[in-house]
Amino acid sequence: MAGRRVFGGINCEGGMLLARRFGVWKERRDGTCFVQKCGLPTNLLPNRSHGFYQSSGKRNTWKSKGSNIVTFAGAGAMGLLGMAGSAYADEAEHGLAAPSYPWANDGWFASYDHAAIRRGHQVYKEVCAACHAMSLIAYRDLIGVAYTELEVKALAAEIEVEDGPNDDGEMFGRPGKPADHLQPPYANEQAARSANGGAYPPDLSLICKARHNGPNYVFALLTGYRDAPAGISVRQGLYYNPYFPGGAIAMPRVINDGGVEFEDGTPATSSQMAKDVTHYLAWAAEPEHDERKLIGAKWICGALLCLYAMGYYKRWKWGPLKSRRIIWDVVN
Amino acid sequence: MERAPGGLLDTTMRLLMRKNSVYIAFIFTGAIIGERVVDYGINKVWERNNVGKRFEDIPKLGTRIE
Repeated sequence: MAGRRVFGGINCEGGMLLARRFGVWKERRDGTCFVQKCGLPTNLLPNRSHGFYQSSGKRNTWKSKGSNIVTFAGAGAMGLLGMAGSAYADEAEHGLAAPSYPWANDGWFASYDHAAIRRGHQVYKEVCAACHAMSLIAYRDLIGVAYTELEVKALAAEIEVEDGPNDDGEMFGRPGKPADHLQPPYANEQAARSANGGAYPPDLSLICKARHNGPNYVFALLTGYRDAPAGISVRQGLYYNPYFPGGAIAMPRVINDGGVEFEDGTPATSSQMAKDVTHYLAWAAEPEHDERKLIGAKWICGALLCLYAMGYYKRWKWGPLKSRRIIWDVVN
Repeated sequence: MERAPGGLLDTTMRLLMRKNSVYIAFIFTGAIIGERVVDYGINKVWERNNVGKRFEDIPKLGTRIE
């Protein structure tokens, strides 16, 4: 089979060799065979599927894209439906789902309401700090967020902090500094449990990130105390709250109308207090929130520019490769 | 992308990308100036969107000193 091959008047030595060996016709840019002196248009040259051998037909061909997409979409939908059943578990196990409240910081360009953070800190200090610690927040974290530096110094000085051994080797108490963390009400978890009937009031520094749907859940919980429905009874020492998983929570209702007097004159209804303290807790869990959104917007602007430049560069480099022609001529 | 010689990208190429030194200088100054512009613009949008919610807008700020 060496030497010249002539098929129906077509004669191309080198091209045939390549075609037989590798199943490839190599083309020049104008579509003619690369072999010098051949110059025949490659679409006229015989190929292995039709010209040389009897092809056994093609099996396992990848069919049209449309039917593949439909198949995979259907399989995916079935899978998702199968998983959906397990997500809708017992409401008593997960608690009633909290509604979505219109928080001041909802949205891509929305910041915290800093006046609300200030009021919320006041509510925490006067109502919640009796049982709940927030030991990850330092007084200086409030500077520039809810209070000025002088106010924070005055706030911190109200507490007494035990400090390290002095020159005599004794621990001593001193007024707080802005660098001190908010003081926990109990020395340790056991003391907290024994003072609260065996239940531990959790540390609130990260509560809005530690609970599913954090701020909505906390607000719904604080305002969600109601009489248990007929047939449900909670034992002595627990209180009914549908938003709490299990329905029976050890904390009684503490947010009541007029419980706190706000210095800016905001009427202290229970929903106002709950909203402000939840906003304060949301800030405590995510203090970087304002800066994060600002930086995110700026970087996305820059990234869009980079995307344009990179896309252009990629297509510039790939252009010669994508516009070449390769003829595959393979028999399975 | 290019439409005809003398188009926008052609002009850009001729002005900026003939010499690498010019290209790099353009990138650096463009980054500095661009960062300032983007910062200013986004801060303005942020302030317009968050009227009354800033720390400086707190009523009775600085009064809680006993």
